[in-house]
Amino acid sequence: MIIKKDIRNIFTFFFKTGLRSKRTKLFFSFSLIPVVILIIVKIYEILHPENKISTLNLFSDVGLTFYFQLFIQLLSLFYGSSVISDEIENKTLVYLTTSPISKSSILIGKFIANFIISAIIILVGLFISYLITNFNSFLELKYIEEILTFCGVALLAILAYFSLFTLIGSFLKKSVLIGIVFLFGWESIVQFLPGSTQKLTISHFVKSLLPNSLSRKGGFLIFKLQPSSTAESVMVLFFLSLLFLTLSVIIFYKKEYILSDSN
Amino acid sequence: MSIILKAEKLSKWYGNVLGISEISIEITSGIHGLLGPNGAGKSTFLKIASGQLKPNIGKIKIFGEDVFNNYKLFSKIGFCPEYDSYYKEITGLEFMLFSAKCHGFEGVKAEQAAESALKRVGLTENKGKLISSYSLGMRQKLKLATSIVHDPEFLILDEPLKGIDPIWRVKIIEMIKEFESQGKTIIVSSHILPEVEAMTNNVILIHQGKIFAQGDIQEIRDLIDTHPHKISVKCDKHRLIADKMINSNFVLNLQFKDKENEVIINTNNREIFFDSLMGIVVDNNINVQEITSPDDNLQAVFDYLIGR
Repeated sequence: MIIKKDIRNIFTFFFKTGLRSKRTKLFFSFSLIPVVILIIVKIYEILHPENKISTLNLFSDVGLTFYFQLFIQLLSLFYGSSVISDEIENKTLVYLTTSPISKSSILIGKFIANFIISAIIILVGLFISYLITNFNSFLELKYIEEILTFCGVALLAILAYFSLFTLIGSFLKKSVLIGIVFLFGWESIVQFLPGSTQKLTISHFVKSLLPNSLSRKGGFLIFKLQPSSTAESVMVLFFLSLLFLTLSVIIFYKKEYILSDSN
Repeated sequence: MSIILKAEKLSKWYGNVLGISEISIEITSGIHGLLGPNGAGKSTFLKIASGQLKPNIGKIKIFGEDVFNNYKLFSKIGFCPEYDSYYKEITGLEFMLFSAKCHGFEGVKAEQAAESALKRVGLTENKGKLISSYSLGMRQKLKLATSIVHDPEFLILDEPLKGIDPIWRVKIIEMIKEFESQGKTIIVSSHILPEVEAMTNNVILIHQGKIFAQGDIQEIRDLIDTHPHKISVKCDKHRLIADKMINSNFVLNLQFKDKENEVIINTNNREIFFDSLMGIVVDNNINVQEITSPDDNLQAVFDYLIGR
């Protein structure tokens, strides 16, 4: 019960401060770029129905690429790695570790706060984009199912990337730089390699979960090779998240963080 | 008197750089001034004592328990760190409420604890302002407030008076003395002797990572008073002052800087020297521009004491 209360206290504090932060405002504005583009295209589509440009194509080509190939990863990188590294860089870790709160409660409480903020930013943008795309038929069951699938996959993707970057942030100083190398190096290249090598990326399992209908529409979603099954993808993403989070807690517990040049 | 903190052969390195070396000490209740020049190892010792760092060698126990990763112990310990670190986008009151909740207070009790701590350090009026708009002194007070919000039995204060205005310095010193009268244990680090002197007679001198001396501050004072002091006098008749003083037995040597109208006098007795200087200045109607003591700091005293 005490642990739950501690996690709740840490969560509440970092959720409130996180929502107010300049970083959140910046990322939230950034997340609405596809929304603005889709609104412009939708207006154009309504005014010029004879043209071939449609928001539906744009959603799968631009919107999903933006969210699933770039934004989820970037947001997870910045918010995930900051769970611990922000406290070290700002030297505020001392206020947390000199409180009668276990290190696991600190990490889990802040992890949940940052995760929810990231999820809100992504899901709001994704949902509005989808709403604009399917403006006339949104209430049809298949579209509701589809948006729920997108949201579910987005949450799983955020969770997996987020846990990985929390782990990196808990033991490496330049976690953002290493995260960028991982995302735009390893993840971007290996997911398109033949054979089972692509299973060494998180994005392979994320893309495997996206509705198949989109792979015919969207460029990035066309799998070069066979996607993994839904069950396998969900299990792998959950397992990786749990593994990375557990390792983060262990490292945070054992590691000694030197906050400044000591004298 | 029961031992609150016990360190045995405590050593800490940062790579090849020595932080502290083989520090063994026992601390009982009362105020203990940890005194030493910058870089002496004070903060390293306090970071180990507050569980921020692990010693490479040796053991430290507070209330008979290990410190590192022993989070429950911090319900009895308050720590005011040296760094000027804070959460930028919250108010002082929000931060204090968070601190109070972290220490187990809930609802109205958390608010009362936060308000009370803010009041003690004089931040009530500014509690609703963002911490990022606080001055250095206000941020320092806020750090102090977080360290006392849960009324701890053992307070570890790393340079607590840094940046605080003279009036509040006095009030905070009084507050620390009040804690002592309540039977609490306080370690206060500083590199300014008079600051520590105002709080306690019990000092621990730390230098180059080692405890150099421990005990009554008066003994340290005596050593300081008898160690040679350089005193610089800038005036319109600096050679006259030298002439009048040269045969005095409290003057060890003299040095002239004619371009600056300055004489630097090395004395082994400051008190008599200043009495004599005042007499010469008045009798000869000398227009003094500046009197300074270039080596009147703790570093100079330590250098002298260790025989450099």
